[in-house]
Amino acid sequence: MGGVRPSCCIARRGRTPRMKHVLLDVNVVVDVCVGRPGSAVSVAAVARAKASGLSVWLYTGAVQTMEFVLAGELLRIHATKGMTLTKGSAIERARELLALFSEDLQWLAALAGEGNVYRSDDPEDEQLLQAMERFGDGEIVLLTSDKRFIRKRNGLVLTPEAFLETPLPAPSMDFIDLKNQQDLVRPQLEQNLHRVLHHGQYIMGPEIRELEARLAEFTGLSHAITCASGTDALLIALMAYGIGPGDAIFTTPFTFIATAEVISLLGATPVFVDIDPQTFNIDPTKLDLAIRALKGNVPSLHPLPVLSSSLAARYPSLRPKGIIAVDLFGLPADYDRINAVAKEHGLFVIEDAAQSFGAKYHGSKACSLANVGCTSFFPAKPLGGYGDGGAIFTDDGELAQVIRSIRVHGKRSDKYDNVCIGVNGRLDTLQAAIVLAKLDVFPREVELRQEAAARYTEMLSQKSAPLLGRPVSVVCPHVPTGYASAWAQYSLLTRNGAHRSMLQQHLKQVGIPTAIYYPKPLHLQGAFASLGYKEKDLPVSEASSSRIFSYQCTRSSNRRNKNKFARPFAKRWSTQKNSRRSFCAEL
Amino acid sequence: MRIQTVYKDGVLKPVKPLRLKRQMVTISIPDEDIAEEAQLESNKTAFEPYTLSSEARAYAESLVARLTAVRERPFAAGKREITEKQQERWEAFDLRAALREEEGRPE
Repeated sequence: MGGVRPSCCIARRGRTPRMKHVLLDVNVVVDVCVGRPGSAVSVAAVARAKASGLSVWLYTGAVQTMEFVLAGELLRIHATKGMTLTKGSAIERARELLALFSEDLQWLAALAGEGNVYRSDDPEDEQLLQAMERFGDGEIVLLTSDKRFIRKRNGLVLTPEAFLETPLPAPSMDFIDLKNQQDLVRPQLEQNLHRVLHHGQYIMGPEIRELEARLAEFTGLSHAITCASGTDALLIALMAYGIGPGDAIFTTPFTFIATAEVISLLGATPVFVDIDPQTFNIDPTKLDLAIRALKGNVPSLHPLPVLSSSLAARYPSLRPKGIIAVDLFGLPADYDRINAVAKEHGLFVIEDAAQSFGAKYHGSKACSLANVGCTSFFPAKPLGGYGDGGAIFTDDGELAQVIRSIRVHGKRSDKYDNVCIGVNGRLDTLQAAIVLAKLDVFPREVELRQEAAARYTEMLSQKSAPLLGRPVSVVCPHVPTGYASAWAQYSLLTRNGAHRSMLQQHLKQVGIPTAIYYPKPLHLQGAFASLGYKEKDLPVSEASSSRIFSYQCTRSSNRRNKNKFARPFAKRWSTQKNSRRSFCAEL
Repeated sequence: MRIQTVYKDGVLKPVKPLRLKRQMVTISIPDEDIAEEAQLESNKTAFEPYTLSSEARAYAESLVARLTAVRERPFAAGKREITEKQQERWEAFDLRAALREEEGRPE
């Protein structure tokens, strides 16, 4: 039942340290829209909240109240000026004002739990208070000029004047900025989620079919098969090729462990191949060498894994079967050359496009650049959901059929008729509903990432370095001609580990989060120790691991300021001169 | 001839489509219908009592200017009546207003 909720959890909330959201009561909205004397304080409060990066919400349950109260107020003001205004005109004008005012604010949905509030002494206020319960402790305040409301919930409910005097937490940046993106897609997101709750097909519901159709269309491929994660995508793809013990799969050591983990999980052996120093992706020349080294059992040609005695007893030599190329940081690998090498040696190629969905390679979309493409919907990925998810792409109809079967326990047409060993690898319908909402804005999202990356490079370019006025000693990401990165990360190569630490520290001080992808290459990870790789085996990967760091390349824009995406980096430098000076000295 | 135009976001638009022989014509607008600079200036000074960042101040000034433009736009010709349903709601919100006034509360 709805009704009155105890206020204990509200009362214990702190006031400002974690404030991220501001909800506006009807009277504040009317105040701002009607522009009567004294309304400047309400405008100032809204402006301060917006400029401080807080989300400013209007409650959808109050739409009509705002409309009619504002119309009444317009009518009253006209009357005091001796002017006549019809109710119809007042309503029309009120709607125009509210539409304009709400343009860059967020609408907070009225949920079912906020329906039966009739036992409350004030249902209208109760709805707002219950809506605020959805936020974390101290994360939201309500602005109102209703003194009685404030007395009831002091600390959680403030006047605009009090809000203007309240210290706000320092703005912070998340490494992956999902908040701004969510603001943009929230209406569609809520609608999609509610649709799933209503139809109740939580496993393989209609959203799965819709997402698969749209992903196939986006990439220009015949088959897009969703699955439970990017890791499952790789695993299922390898299973579809029948990979197992004695098989060798060539891949990069400069990536997340999932790429090589799935090879080992199937009993096959990863053969690590060093990377190109400019793109950080697998080096096709070294790939060819590694395949030849394995085929001819010539470790002097390229470092090869050592087989355990049991494996060596069963398989005197590994069978080269396939290649997993990774599009690191969103930049596709060199597939023309990789596919040519694969063809020469009779291998299949899997494109690990976990970070590159949305990227392009000579006009073709990422996920379509090899025999099979695999991507991830992990939240931090370019097309990220709100949990784990992934998809497998191919133009090969027979392979697609096998993949679909493996995804659901190796089933045929009936779920209890199993033709092979598979996995429980379906994507949840709810997750598909989320990804669908994000897919609507995804092309623009990629453009914004590309604009931001171009701005970063312009700021740091060794040729111009307009920000610094002199060359810098960090290496900006290299994008070869004909490539378009999806910019999952913007990664800089520093002089050495100490230089990297200093730069990261400076950026941390000015509130810009950074991360290291990846601090240790896979061939030196304990999980792969049995393969016998040692330091200096793959020197480019090892050097890159010790010198690289990344920062965010996600959208941070709204309708009124599209350029905000790249601004935090530049703004913080320009407004915090001391930090900027010392940071620049390090560059 | 006299024509009616609607003012929106700094632009005048004829209420009915108009065919002219040339691109540029001169129209006269009574001085009293021009928004005074003083009004625009007062929008800016209104925020002086509050400590706002330049970004917040710019947002506030822009918001006020845009809302003022909508508020001051002449109403379209013709009396706009409300529907029966709207009238019922109007009365309901009148009741709400009366109750809140009794309690000494704002809208």
